[in-house]
Amino acid sequence: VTADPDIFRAAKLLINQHGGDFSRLARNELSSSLCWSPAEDKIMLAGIWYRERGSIALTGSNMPPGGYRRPPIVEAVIEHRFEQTLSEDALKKFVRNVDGSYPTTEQMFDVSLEVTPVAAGQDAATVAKQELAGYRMTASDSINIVVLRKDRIATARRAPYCGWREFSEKANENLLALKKVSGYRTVTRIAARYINRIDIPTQAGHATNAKDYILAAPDLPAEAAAVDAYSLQLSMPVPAIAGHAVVRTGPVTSPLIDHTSLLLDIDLYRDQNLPQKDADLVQLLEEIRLQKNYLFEAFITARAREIFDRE
Amino acid sequence: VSSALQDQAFGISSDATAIDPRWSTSTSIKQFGSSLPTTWGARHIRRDRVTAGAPAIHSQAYVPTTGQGLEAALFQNRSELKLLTGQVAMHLGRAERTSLFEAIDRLLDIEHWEDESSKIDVGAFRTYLRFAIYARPGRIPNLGVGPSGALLAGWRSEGRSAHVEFLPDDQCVALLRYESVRGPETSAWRGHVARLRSMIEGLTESKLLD
Repeated sequence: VTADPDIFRAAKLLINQHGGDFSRLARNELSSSLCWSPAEDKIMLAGIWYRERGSIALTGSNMPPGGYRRPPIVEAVIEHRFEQTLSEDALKKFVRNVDGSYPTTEQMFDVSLEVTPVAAGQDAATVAKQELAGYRMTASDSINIVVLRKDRIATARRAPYCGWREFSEKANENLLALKKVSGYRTVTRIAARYINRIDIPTQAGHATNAKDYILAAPDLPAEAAAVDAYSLQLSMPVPAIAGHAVVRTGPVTSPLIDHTSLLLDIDLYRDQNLPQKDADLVQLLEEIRLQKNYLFEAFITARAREIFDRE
Repeated sequence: VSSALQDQAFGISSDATAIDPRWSTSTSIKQFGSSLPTTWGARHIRRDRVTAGAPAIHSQAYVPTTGQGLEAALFQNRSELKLLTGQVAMHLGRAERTSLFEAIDRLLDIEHWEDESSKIDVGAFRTYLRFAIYARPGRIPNLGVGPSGALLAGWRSEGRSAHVEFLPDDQCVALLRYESVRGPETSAWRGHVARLRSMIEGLTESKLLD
């Protein structure tokens, strides 16, 4: 990490070549916010990581090294979906094989009830169907979960979040364990979803303006800025992963006294032209994670960051 | 838009989400396509349109494959409480989290379960969590469970003590013992947990929680 003037000049040149405008920043501000990672050949300028790949691509965020002290993540999910469905036998074998890590298993059934209306006075014809949909396995800590269906496997981690490395390794382990019992399966979709809840200290009787914390909120007049409920859902392409992101936000009932809570739910996925080699899938997941971090940082404000980084 | 449609159109990654219904709005659960936390028995997770002559009603049921009876009930209770704790884990220190999880496992351990033992009321536990984060007691209390499922917490120091029964809906009952110049005194107080620290400190004239 350095603020070497040569690096600064190179970075500024690099940014300006691609349309960025940092001329308004004072030199000391740039120096304090300029980092260079020689190992990864990338530069952080004004809180954002840049890497040259033909064109500049955002590759990270201004999240502090090592993450926030109080990450607002309430749940993280990594999911793989397959083209070929898994047999019930393969599902059962997987459940048996991971039983040590996820000792509590629930069967999930799809249940349907079909009612055919008939003339008055006649008994209505009903048909009930039940089909095994998959399994939900829970670790003894109730924090780590695997949801296995015939066409997908999801590894979920509830708060407290353990960090990307541990979480993604667990998801990869589960995927490999599934492939071991099912054989090769074409992956048709890969996704990472992070549900964040921002708990904002609020004095009783005082309103909170969501826009002070999340940059995706209804544009309301100041007199009516403190709405109790809304739900905003955005879908956008994410070229860096050749996929899409779905971002959902809105207020939720706060679990804390004298707080207002906002949800920021970021779901990134790719469902076209997926690589199939294990190593390539891992690499894609890493890229999805970087883009997730970037989106997260793009949607929150400095006031929200202060909350996550409090002692 | 039904959750099923959301699944297809917006790519909800999993139904494993852990948004506690008590701490979420029903709107948010529906809009975000999130399911409720895991509990035993059947539960409707997804329901398509219901109109006469329309396609069948689809829903999902969860059935445990391991453990039944008391064991399953205790697991469910432990799971609910840990899930609640997890939802606010970012506001708790590591020692607090560990202590809470140990207390949950100890109080709901089937090996030491007796006829008069009680499961922990989820609402009462939620009240304790809200108090712990709001009032920030410096000392982790001894925890127990009352006959009705209320969470009991005790702090004791230098002849003073506070025994608190945490009840649902942010309510609590505190029994405070302390020494005055005229001898030992006892006070009982009931109210919102947001006032509990100031009541304890005022009556016992001490930083008993720290």
